Amino acid sequence: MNSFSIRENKTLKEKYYYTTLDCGLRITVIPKDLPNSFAFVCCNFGGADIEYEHNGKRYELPAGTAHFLEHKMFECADGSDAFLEFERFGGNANAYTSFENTCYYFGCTDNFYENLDVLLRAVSEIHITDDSVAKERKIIEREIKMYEDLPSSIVNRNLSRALYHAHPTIYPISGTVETIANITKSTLEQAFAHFYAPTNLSLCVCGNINPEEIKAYAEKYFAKDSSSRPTTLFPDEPMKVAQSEISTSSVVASPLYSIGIKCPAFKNHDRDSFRKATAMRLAISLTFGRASDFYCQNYEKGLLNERFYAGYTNSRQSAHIVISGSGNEYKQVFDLVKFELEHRKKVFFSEEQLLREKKAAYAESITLFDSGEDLTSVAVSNAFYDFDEFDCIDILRDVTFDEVKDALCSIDLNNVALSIIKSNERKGIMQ
Amino acid sequence: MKIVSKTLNEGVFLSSFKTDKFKSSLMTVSFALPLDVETASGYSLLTNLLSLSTADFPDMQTFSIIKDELYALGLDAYVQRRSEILLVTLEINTIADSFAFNGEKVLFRACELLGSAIFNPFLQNGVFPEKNVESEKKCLIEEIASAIENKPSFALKRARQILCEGEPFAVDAGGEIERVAELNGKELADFHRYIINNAPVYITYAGEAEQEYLEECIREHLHFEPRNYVLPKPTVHKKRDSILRVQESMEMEQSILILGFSLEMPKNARDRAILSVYDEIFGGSASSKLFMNVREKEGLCYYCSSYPSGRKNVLFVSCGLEPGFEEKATDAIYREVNAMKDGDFSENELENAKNSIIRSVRSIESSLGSLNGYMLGQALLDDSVSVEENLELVKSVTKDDVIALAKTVEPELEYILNAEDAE
Repeated sequence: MNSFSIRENKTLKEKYYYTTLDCGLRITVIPKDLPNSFAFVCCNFGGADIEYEHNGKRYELPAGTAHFLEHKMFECADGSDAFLEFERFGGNANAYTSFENTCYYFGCTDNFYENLDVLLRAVSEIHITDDSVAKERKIIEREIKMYEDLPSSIVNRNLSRALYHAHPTIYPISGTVETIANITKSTLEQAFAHFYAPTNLSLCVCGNINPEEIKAYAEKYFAKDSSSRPTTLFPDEPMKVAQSEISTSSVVASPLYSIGIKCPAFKNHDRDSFRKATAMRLAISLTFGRASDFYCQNYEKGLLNERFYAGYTNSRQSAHIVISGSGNEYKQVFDLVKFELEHRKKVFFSEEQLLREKKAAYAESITLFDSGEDLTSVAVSNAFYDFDEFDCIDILRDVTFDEVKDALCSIDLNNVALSIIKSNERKGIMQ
Repeated sequence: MKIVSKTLNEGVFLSSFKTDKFKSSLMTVSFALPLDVETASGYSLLTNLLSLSTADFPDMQTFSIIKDELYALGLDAYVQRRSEILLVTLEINTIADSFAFNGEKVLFRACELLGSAIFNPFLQNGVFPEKNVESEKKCLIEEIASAIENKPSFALKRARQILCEGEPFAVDAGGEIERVAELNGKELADFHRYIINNAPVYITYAGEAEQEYLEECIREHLHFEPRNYVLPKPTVHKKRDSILRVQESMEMEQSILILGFSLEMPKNARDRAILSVYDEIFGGSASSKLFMNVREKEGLCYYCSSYPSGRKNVLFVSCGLEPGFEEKATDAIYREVNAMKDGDFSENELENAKNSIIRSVRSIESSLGSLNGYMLGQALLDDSVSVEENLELVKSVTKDDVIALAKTVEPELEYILNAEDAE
């Protein structure tokens, strides 16, 4: 008997119900009184899943397989499209793939259970043909080319290639035209069989919804499953960067740059790693945020502009700081960034500055609960971890001054790389 | 849906929606102006300066710190276009008072800061200081120039400029590099004085504040004197006799095709309802004819969508293509345009489209951004109707209405931004 447990946060006036079915499917139900209801299904299979082990056997997939499969999952048994089914019931459906996972979802104002039926059927079956795979390959090639025409996407992709030697993050999530050429009907069927088992899926719904009814619907589509979850295999990744600089040219107004600093990766995505990541994020926003000395002084000198960004990203067995922007003075900014980090290791911020930064981060965290769609998309992937959205706010509050300082001091400036997109001489349009 | 609309003073309007379903609140203050190439650059640069500092917080760091103390207050200023109206908008996105520590009155303090940014910018001898002006000019010029990096939206902008040449619709709200470069602190102070004293003001608010408290915040910090105003009417696009074909090229991986059409000018709320149903069936959704046939059946592109304007008689279709497939895609899109004229869509498709629009209207209450956007859009219309009336209008749209509109859709522009290989 799988009854629902309840988690509640009285300060935020929020709660949710959660359970795991016998088949292994995780379910989260978030009550929310807004006109739109949402349902997300998350498969723990993303761009980083290239080599993996399943039932004692090793497998390798072409880069872009998870994303390709995402494109094909809304294809129905009769060759029709689940989008049309959603439309019939007024569901607004979509899907996306990240390095970590693939999510399918819909939002609706009416006919929630009819739409849920369409969604659960779509993710629990696969119906593809050689022809439909070949046709989809052409569409995905267009999508890849579209991103290749976006310099802001290229500068960050190149940064990953500079920072990492072999980690799958060096490949775009959608793969490349070359890798997707190797994805066939059987590749997709194998990936579906291994990764789309209920033990590797989670379902999260948000709205005026009865949790017991959700359970009944889910049980219709997912039978008991004894297969183990595939284990993703990551190649050994040295701490040293693969290349210290990578440069290309494109149609840009002025050079785009992305500075990366490789950080130790966390083995697991758990509460402890989230706490460390929170400390690092606070350290980065104190140092390079909009109210920082660094940003304000260099903005006034004309070295930075509104496009400047600083953040920290940690994914599966990869972690790095990204500092990006645009302008001809990228070499100078690169040196200033390194200088500022060394300086802040010696002269750290005050308790008062950290409190202000935490206040700002708190406001940002609680507004997640303002959007049913955003909240559901975060909660559906958090279902795989040992912390939730409430913990994130508590961790933010509890992180200490010393933890934030330690995070900053741990940054190793020997592991820095610079990605640049220079302005093409023949930039602009030709008539 | 209970939107409270009030005229605070002649030419000063407030639309608000009280809701306790969010942990933040959003207020926008917009000044409406004619979209004019002579002035757009000045207003665009002015918004950058207004969000940079105030007389009380003259450097950007103290201004940023005070915003962080107010829970990372999102105080933003930007220009936006609504058909041929230019809006200079300043907005504050704050945490709701009930979620602040120690019972702080965040909205009141946020309005104070917003009022300071609007009425009391940092000036020296009555003009914006040269140092700030030059620094923001550099940033804005970079921003305008960087539009070239997003090829689909750049191509759409070029198509709009070409199809509507000489009309306000062709003007970019963000301004032009050459005009921005010529601006000085005095001209910007003049632009500022003009909006404060003359332009109609539209304030919108969605959040937990009671009307009385909201009006107190506005009375204290956002008081505008009465002003005479006339909102510019949208001009009618003059149809061309023949299709204009323009090709440009850029170093990139895929070509972008934009087709421009003229159609009957929407004259009232019912016409806009018919246009929205037409667009939903034709190219505005993932179940539309363009998506299902040009992308899914023909596999010609990753995206193929239509972009109508509720207040202008033009419509664009955009798609990204493998070079060499432009003609095939053009034919495929024209086939769908003609299918709409022939009424080649079922009553079921019509009902699905209407239901989809009705759901989006009902969904407005799901986000502060869409609530404020909707209230502003309605306030700007001189023939606006209530949400309920709007839903009734959508429900009343018939297949014949859609066909009648479809028959007025005529091709006028075939614009191709060709992919040119890197050398």
